[in-house]
Amino acid sequence: MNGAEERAWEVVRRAFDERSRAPRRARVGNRPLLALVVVALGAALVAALSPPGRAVFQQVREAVGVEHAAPALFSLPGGGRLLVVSSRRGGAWIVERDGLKRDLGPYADASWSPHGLYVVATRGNELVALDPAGHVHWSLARRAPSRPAWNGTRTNTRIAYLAASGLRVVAGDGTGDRLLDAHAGAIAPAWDPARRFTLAYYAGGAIVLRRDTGAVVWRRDISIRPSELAWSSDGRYLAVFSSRRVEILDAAGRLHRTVSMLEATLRSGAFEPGSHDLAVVVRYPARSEVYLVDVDRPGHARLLFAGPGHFGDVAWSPDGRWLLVAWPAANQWVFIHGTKVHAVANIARQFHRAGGLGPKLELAGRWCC
Amino acid sequence: MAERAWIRGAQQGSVADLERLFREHWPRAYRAARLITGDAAAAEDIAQEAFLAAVRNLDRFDRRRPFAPWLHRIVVNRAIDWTRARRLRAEVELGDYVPAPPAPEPNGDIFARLHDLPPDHRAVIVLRSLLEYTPGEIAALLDLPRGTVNSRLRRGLDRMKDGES
Repeated sequence: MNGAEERAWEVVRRAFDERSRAPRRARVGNRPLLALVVVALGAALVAALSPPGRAVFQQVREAVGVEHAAPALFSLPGGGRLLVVSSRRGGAWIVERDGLKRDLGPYADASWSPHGLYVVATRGNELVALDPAGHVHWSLARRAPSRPAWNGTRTNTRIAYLAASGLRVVAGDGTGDRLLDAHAGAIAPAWDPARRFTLAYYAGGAIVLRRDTGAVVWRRDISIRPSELAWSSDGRYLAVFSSRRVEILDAAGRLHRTVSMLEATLRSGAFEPGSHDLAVVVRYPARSEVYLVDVDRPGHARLLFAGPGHFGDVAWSPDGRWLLVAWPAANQWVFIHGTKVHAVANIARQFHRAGGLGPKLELAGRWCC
Repeated sequence: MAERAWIRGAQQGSVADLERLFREHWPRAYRAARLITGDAAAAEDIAQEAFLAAVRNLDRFDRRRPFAPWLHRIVVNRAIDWTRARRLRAEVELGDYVPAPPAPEPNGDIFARLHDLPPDHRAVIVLRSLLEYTPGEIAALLDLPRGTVNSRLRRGLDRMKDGES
């Protein structure tokens, strides 16, 4: 037996278990599963289902995205508020639904509080909690803080973040800061939406699910080098991204399935709120594509958008209707809802700060209520 | 025959029987995909997806028929598609992409010569030499005339022999 065989067996067994649990409904109306590799326009490979007319669809999308972009971000199509961060010394901004933009300051990283009442951000050796107007409520001096993630209820919250000492957790009022794991890797921790104050992170070749009290819920060894973690909103699945594959773990840490796109690099992704559809950014050498992958149904994926150059992060609107795709190569953001595409141009200029390094704008998980 | 019993057991919900079926057929499915694509990660994905298709279609599978040809048909066709697409991609896209070299094989020389062949020739040789199908069975698996299978076998093997000298 080898690693490939064991990985495949675990995925096959999981699919079999689910088939046994829902033997009829799951199979009725399913399209053919095994469109693993499909050639379209002589260039695209898809490790999933390819809908009819895909090539035409793709061309239309590219044309719309490029030619009809609005010159500025006049409004957010899906409502809510967007927290925009330029990790290249660019700063952080909040964009309101009507397009109002507020510069929070020269922060390197930022994240919303659970109900969007506050923002936690990092700058230098400081972790800062501020309100959406930019007023600082408290700050905590720690060496090289990064990747903050805030979780909890209106009255009781925790912030997890990485620092030079490892993964740390602090209460939402800035008290009780403590080290949770000195061996945590440099990817953002992800709070489990279904378990109180429990978060997933990478450490020592494994994904660890741990309570903020220190108790380990489970630990899953993985063979990939993860770049990002993303929970489904019901906490049933955790997507572990790497450049070659996404491993989908279930709530107990068991491998549910893997997602990979042959010949492509996987960039990032996010679960659609309220569903088990995972938006995945796929990069080829000269183009990128965004797929919506149904993790409950192996082989089922839908191409949402494609274009030349590299795409960046994606973010879902709070109601799950719109997907925002960052497209640095085109200096655009593309908002997608079904067949509707709304593109906004000149993104780098709209989020420019003197001394910043430019348009590497991050979005993941930052479109809030 | 044990395989029929495993399929019947799997159809009735037995994970143990499914695992027997998987363990029996995985090595050759993976190896065939590996030989045709020359890419270990692609082979893993292709073989895995073939087994997922088997799970999805388990109830509809006629257990009087052998399982292997059905599985191999999927694997080989996917592997051919993948290999063709990779070649096409290398031709149409910008030239800054260099695919990773294949992982070392026990018999690297044969492996290299096999990969000098077009993918459909490669597939026929893998089906014949590794999976031991007859030309008639290969023709049925790939929906090809038997004469085409014979000519691809002959030309492929000739080219591999030429590469040997």
